[in-house]
Amino acid sequence: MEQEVRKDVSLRASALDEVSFLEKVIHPFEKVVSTLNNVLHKVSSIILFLLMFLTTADVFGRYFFNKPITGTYELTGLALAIIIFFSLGSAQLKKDHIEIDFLTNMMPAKVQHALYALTSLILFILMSLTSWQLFEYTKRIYFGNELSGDLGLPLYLFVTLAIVGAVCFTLTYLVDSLKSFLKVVKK
Amino acid sequence: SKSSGGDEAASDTKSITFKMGHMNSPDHVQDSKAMKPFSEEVEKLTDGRVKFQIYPGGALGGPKDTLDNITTGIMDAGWGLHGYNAGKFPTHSVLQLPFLANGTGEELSAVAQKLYDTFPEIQKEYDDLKLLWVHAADPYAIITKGKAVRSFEDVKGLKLRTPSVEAGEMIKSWGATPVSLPAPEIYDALQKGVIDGGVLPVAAIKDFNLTDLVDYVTLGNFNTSIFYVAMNKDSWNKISPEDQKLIEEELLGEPMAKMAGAAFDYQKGLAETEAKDAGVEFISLEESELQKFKDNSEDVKEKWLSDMKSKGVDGQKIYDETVKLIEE
Amino acid sequence: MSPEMIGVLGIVLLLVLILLRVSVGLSLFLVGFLGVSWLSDWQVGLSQLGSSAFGTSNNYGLSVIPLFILMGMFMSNTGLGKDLFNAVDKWIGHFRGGLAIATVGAASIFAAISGSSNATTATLAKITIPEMKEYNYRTTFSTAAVAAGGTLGILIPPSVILILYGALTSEPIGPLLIGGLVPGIIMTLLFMLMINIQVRLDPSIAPTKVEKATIEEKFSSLKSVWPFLLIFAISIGGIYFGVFTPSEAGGIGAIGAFFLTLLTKRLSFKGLISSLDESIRLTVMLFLILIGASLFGKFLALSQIPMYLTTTVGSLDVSPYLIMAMILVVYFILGMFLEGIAIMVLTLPIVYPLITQLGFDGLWFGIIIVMVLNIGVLTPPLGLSVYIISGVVKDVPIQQIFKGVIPAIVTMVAFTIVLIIFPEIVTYLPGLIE
Ligand code: NA
Ligand code: NA
Repeated sequence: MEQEVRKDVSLRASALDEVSFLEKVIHPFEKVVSTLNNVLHKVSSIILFLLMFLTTADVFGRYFFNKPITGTYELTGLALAIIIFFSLGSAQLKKDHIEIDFLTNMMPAKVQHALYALTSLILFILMSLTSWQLFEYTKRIYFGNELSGDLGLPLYLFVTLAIVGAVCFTLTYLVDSLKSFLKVVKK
Repeated sequence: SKSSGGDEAASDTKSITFKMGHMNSPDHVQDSKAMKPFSEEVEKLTDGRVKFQIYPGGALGGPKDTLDNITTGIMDAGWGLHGYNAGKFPTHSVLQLPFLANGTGEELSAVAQKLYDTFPEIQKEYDDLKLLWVHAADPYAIITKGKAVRSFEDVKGLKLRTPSVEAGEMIKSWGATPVSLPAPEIYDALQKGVIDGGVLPVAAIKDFNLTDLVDYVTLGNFNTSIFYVAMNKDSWNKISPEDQKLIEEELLGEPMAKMAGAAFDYQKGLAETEAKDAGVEFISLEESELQKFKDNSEDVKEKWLSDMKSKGVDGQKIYDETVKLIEE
Repeated sequence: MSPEMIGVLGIVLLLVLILLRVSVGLSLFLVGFLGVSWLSDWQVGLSQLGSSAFGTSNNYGLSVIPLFILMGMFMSNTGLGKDLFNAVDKWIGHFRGGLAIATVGAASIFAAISGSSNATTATLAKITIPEMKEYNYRTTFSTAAVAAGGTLGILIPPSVILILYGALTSEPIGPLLIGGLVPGIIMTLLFMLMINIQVRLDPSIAPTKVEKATIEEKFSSLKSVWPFLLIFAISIGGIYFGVFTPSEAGGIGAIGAFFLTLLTKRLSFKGLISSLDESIRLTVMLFLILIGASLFGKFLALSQIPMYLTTTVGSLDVSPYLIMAMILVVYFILGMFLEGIAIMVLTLPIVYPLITQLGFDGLWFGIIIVMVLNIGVLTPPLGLSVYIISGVVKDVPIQQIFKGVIPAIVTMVAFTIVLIIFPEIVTYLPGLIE
């Protein structure tokens, strides 16, 4: 496949040159993005596993020793938030997010790719704005000195972690957009 | 702020409707007996130029997000509890310290407002907002299911819902376990034994439908909590200076604070009657027992004072003024 | 433009985006952002992007979702699903259409630890369809039994859909889950009855199985059933008897399933990893929608559409049942084209205030929604369950499978009508809690 493109280059217009250049850039970029998301997803798995024990230990502590684990409530909420943000991207890589495609499936393949390139670009912009706004939100709660109720944990730390997840999620849409764009321009 | 200039002339003739959000049900007393009267009064005062439309039930955002939602403007104004934003109002929290709750909701609300009016250190904590009024609840009691608190010994080991960091430290100082839950979760937590009860205002029994679950109410003016009704600054500046002045002079600050406090007092009356009818026992502690609660909570005050010191705030002065205002 | 008009435009844009294959969650998020910005200010819309996203995920009450899903994953990733089916088969497989009846029976037990219809359907399809094929069951008939059984996944507790319903409407989650139990059991029996009638009408669709299990075989097969019932009894029983909150029930159920599969040497490290992985992916998929829905909900509140509709419909002088019937017809149509969770987040902010205003019970309506969404996964053109099954049986045209499930749809419509006439079937058991 790649070789075919190479051959064409020498014969035809420079447009294809750009295509193969794009391909060369996108592949490593895609690899980096998926590695990042997979690492975050592994961390999520560990957090969920620990969360299961935390909940149980809290219930046992409460019923058998009349000593629940202080902060279970807020830790559970924060753990959930981290799990979600750390795995948004890996779910997108595996195309888990619900999409309804019965209408687009009726369109010609090129149109589908073009459309997907466009909508992925829009979502890339949306998620870029979201990452930026999570940062603004972090600043607000940092300067507001906001703490969690029971353990007094600084909340901005948790939102900062969420930004990391959000950025990695955002990048998956850039990859998707570029890949679909490539499919449109490629013969 | 997006539409300045040209709108100035328009604002004389056109009316502005502001969105006022809160997390409670539409029939909560703060809605019917404070925010609604406020919006009606404002409309009357300004001949309909300024209106507040109330969005109850957290339609524009839940308890934890209310403050941020006002600052960023999806709510032009909103009602919330200081306790949901631990760390944000450390100085004004003086009124949440143990045993500074001798009085009715109305009286304590006036104190909360006067503290704000008096101390620039407290005003600074609201500098990203336009505070409309700040109020308190009727004094908090220990409200429990199954386990009665008749003496200081009884409270040890109980799991109690706390409304604020200060109350949490107080509960800890008694040898009990504080649990900070959002108010709507109290019912479920109490039913499932996640908590044995809470340090709550008597009015809360009615507000959160706890009448059937609660068995005992131990009275003792343990503490109170403070609540804000605040407005987005840009939104406030959309009101003409004349109307701002009208609203400011007639309603904002003490008049509304007292009205909001009185709303809780009214609800307390209903809750108390209803609870007693349902067989809930109201316990008054003996003076010697109550003193043990007080003695043990002394550290909470000391901790607050040293926190203030590290912030460069004269905590003792504010504390003494609070005590003086309550005694008045 | 009036806020209501802007609201309508937003809904139209949302539908367009969803039909253009934009992820449902981010479509909601995008339209919510644009709508809030239009109705107030760009700054406001922008700041909501950050705070709604984090605020929705930082939620103790919703931790029940990954924990309940994890519980089901442990059980299904360790081959317990197959043992379960074999056990049920030993008891009722020799009846006429027995394998199909056993499929429904196994589905209902599997549903008691699994919160999702898709997982229930996918697990069963792989196990039971090849088995039924071996006994020459007609494929349209065997696939229909799986499709019907799979819908029990979200009716019998735990149920991700009912938890989401609770999250979207503030109905308490515990009673909602308990509310699905009796309708789930009745639905199971009705499906079995339906299969029996089908086989009587046309015996050629399900040749009788000759072998019959011995008593010893029957009882020893129960060994694989009790873990399901034990986990169910602890977690859902714990909610019913007021021992734990739903989130705690999820945690206890998950750890119960973890140790059970670990101690019986069924859980490998790989199984553990894939259980966690799949649970999180499903959770995240749901949460992206919840995040979008929270911002879209604020936009709808600002547009005043829900308020406008409730006041208008409230002043109409027609029977609430007529309005309910109209709502259900709309749901049936939506169910043909849209995915169930998308339907809930799109409609509930408007429909829930409406039906409670009309005097219907909010908890009861949650079960009705589950019934309607379950019909939706069986109807073309978008019928998720049928798609899942057709992924397993590659040799049957999908139209055939759609045709095969018609009796199940008829049964479900009939039972929905029964639930409307006798809401106590839903509300009685939750009413007994505590
Ligand atoms: Na289930
Ligand atoms: Na459908």
